[in-house]
Amino acid sequence: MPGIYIHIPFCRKRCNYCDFYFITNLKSAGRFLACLKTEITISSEQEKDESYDSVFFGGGTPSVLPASEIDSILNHLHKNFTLSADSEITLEANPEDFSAVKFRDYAEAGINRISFGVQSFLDSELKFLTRQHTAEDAMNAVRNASVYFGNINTDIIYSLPSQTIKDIDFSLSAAAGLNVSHISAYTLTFEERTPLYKSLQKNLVKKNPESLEGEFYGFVSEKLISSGYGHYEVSNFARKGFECRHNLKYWKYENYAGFGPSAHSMKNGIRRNNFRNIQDYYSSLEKGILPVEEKIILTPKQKKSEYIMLALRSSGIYYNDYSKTFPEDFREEFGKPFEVLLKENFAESNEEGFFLTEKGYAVADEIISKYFWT
Amino acid sequence: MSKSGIRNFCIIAHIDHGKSTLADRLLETTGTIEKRNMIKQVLDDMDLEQERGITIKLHAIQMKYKADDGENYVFNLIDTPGHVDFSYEVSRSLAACEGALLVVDATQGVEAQTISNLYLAFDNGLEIIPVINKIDLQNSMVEEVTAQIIELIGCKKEDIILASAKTGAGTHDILEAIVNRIPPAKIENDKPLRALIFDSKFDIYRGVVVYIRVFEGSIKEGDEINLFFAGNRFVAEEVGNLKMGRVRTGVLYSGDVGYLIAGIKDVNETRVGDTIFKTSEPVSEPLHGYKEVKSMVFSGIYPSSTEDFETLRDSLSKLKLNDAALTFEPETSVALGFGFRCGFLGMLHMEIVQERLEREYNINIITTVPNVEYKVYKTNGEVVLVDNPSTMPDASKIDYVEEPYISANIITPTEFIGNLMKLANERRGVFIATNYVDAKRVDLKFEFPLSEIVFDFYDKLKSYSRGYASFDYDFKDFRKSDLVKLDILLNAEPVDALSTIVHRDKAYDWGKKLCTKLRQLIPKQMFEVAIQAAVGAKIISRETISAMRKNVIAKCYGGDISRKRKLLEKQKEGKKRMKQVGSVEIPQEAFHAVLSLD
Repeated sequence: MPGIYIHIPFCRKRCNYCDFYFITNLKSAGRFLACLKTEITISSEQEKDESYDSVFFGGGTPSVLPASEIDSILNHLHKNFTLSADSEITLEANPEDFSAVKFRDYAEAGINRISFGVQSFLDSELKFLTRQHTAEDAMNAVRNASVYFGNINTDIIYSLPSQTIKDIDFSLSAAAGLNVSHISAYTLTFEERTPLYKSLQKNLVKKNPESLEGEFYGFVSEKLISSGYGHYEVSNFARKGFECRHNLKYWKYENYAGFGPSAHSMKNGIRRNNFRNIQDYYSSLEKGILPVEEKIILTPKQKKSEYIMLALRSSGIYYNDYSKTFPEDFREEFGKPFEVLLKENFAESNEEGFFLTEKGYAVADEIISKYFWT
Repeated sequence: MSKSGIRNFCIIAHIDHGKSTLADRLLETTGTIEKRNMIKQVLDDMDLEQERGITIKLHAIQMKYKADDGENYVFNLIDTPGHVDFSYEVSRSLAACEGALLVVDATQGVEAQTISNLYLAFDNGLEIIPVINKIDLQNSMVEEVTAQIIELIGCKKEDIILASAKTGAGTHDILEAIVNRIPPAKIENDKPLRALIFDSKFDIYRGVVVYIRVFEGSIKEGDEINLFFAGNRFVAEEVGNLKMGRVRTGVLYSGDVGYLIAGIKDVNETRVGDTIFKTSEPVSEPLHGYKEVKSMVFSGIYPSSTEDFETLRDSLSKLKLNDAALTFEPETSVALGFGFRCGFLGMLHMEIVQERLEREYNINIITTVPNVEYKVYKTNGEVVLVDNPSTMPDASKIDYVEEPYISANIITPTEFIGNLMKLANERRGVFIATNYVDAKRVDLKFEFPLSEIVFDFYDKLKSYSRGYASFDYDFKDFRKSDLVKLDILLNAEPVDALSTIVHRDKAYDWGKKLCTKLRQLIPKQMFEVAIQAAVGAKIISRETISAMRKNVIAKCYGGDISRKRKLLEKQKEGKKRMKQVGSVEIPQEAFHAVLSLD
């Protein structure tokens, strides 16, 4: 079943490493909600018969919106789309946005999964990342949320300049100690157009060498696996049964609809993305036109490359699924890399499929571009 | 007009000493072109030439001049290429003249190249008119340069014309000197035709345009003609003078410089230096000085992407239409696929060809390390020429190997003699003689293995002399040397395109440097990569590239898969530009790593 992504473009303050689309002026929230609902209404006319089983409020910082507004968006979704009863409904939240009572309200509005932008449990690192919360805020937020939510993710960013294995261990142990069901651990990336990137160019910060990043990556996987989390995607770890249903749709090449500025959608090999700029987004919808900035009809080659990339980065290639999507047999088509990767322990296989190992995950881009990109 | 009014001359000058500007000034003063129509430096009409400031392919141009004596004269200025690689072509354009302007920059003084071209002019019996140019510049050293010139050609001080091509000073004196000092072209119209080919050029509409100097007899349209050395026969379709364009006259007489069009398809049929005669009046003696031009430096040229092979072949063929000195033959390399072994006159010629392929023909190419041609004497008595290190016979089958030597002149201020002796020593130079050009400058004569000056010698020369030394060379002979083939292995697989031939004493050092350089150039791979240098079965150096630890975008892009796809497409593009040997991906720049060794 497909999923729904909703982009809430508001943040209280910019974080120096972030290049997602956001605005810090919350005054236009009313106009945004109106446009978002228009977008949902128009889109639903084309999607009448679909049934959805995940909703993901991403951002930005969706938790800057009060529960009442999240509630009204969800109500509007229910009016226009068929959401299955057991849908996974995630809200991205920043730890500083929370009082205990707010969690109750979100839960009542229908949210059943919270994804916290914790990033680190060390104050010095949070400061480096220009985050607005402290480690203590994060601890409290996760503890308070646990009262209402059985499915909590914490995002962790690692490989910060001058970070040590011990520092990483501290944050991961803290997250695992809070018994969250899901941990996303990303390496810090220096994206163009961010303040952090400018600092890098001015030589004010240093990027970790590839070998050190590799060591960190290995450590993170080992640590989380030994703490009882399954490594089910390059940067994602979950207790059994708590893999993020919504994100799995991206990786399993399923359809998803995205609403809000800069949101992406995928439907049967056609990718669309909305205007990034909120003014463009508004003016399109206020004329009653879907705010699509770009539509890409994937070529068969692109489709295959994407499919393999996403599969290898996550749960692997299942031969039957592959053959249903493409006319070829995966093992025959990629016979040679198949052997090489198995032999060198970059991958494993069984009767059902072909999977990257931990060693393979660490160099997944290299593997994909060298052997599988067509 | 009386034929004795013809003056054929050229300009000898070092690069940047003002040859082109002076030529422009002469054209302008004689009214051959109007100032406002003039693109700066008319003689250099290829983009590349203008950029490099050197005239690569020579041309000729006719001017009319009314002298102070009231008579009208015809001047043919024959341009000469200005670089050591083209000394044969220079010698043939000099042979078409009776005189030469020797232009020396007042701020720089005499340079090696000026001297070697001057010697060529002497060999051809040319009258020399010395000109000191750029006298308007503040840092000019007119007295020193005057002394150098007197020392060099033994003229009188008053024979030297002081000029500034920029301001026009001295231009009139130069024009008068051309009239009065350069011998008039001899008129021998009643003899059988003998004309010298001093250049040719391919024109897409007319085929080959041949530039000629008629020494004896005459040539008119409709004549059946033969080439003495090439032996082929043509019919003269069109002849004429060379002004700003071709001016058809129907006939050329002895003393004339002009062009000939004869339905010739390929410049290789009309080699520079050949003699034209009439089929009806065979001559027994060719004009003096013909030489078969031989490639001295060789390099593999491969298309970056294999599908461009045919395009590369077409482009090389087109270049060759206009460049008889370029040779190419198909070859294959395990590392690089299908390409061509190309022969060049020298390093500059090679660079020009490479640049033209990339710029004018828009092909991305990979060039291998240049090498010279070796004469290999095998134990079975066979002698083979080897122009590609990877085709060197097995050491056990070689009796001995000979390599080409050159004789070189290096002109330098005396303070750098020590440095340059050291450089010569590093490059296996054999010292021959020292001649003082003047009190401060010296002409050092050496003999070098050509292979030693192929790599970065010129840059080294400049850096060892703070830019002051100049250099010129000529092929000397083949000599027996203790040479070995140095192979590079990646994960135990030899990379043919990285093999080089080096002197045994240098093999260890080279091997080590090459391995170090390759370690820097080859990116980390999924596997550890061993880089080894070997002479025969013996490994003389080794470096290791550790395996890549991480290459995965570990960032959340939400549903923005396109962004990931684009990043991977970019990685894939990067990989496509690399060449694969075994499982190792090698970036293109690694194939001429040797050129930047130090």
